[in-house]
Amino acid sequence: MVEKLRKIYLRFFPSTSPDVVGYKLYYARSGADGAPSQLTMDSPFFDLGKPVPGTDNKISIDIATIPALTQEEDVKWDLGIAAVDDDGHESMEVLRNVPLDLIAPAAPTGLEVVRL
Amino acid sequence: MIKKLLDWLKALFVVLLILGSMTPLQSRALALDFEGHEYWIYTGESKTVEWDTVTGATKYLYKVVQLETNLVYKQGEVTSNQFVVRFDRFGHFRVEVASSDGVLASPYILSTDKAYAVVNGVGMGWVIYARVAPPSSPNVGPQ
Repeated sequence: MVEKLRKIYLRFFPSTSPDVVGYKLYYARSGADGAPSQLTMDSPFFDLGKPVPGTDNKISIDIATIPALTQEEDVKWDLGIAAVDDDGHESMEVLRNVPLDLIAPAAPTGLEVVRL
Repeated sequence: MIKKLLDWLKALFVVLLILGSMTPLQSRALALDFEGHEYWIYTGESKTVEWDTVTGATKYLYKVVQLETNLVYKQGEVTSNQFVVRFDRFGHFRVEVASSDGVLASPYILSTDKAYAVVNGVGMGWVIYARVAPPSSPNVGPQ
């Protein structure tokens, strides 16, 4: 069986600091509307490395490469994209209430040839 | 000559020129045993520091010291009463300035010393906080 998932990308402009050596993507489930975010720098994160920006100077990350965000349906996430310098200091920009549903529907069953 | 240098010192004030759109944060105590004013900036950006001219001085010596490590980050000398410093490192920094007649130099005065430092016309110590610039304009969607 083969699945075809729609492509969803996280995109951002890189940090302007000269000593940035990479980026981290922090994530936490969004709370109810209006509730404070649970996202902190103690939240789980995915190390994005130091991707090369595209011709528009934006970094583009395929969300499907981050399994923690793609294994549940109908979840909204708070995402924090942090720049990390060569001493480990970080600075974060936050996106809230991002809906990510990359679960493909179940495949059809009972496939047969029917004589008309 | 020493008396003359001390007279210079009394007249020396350090003032931070705020260039561009950077806005100083509210004064607050730092976790660095310093109470005064904190200007913030992103690493990779520059600030201009200025002080009152001193009669008889032919040049000024300056140092930029990172408070977390107490190490001199940059130092140099200028003939004018200001210099531009670019912050490529994260941290809190104080500025130190001394005047010189080419032979003798005054003691360094510190930007953290409210007796010599000025913020918006008021005697107050200050530091510059250089932070890592965050990524900008994040969004999630199709390519």
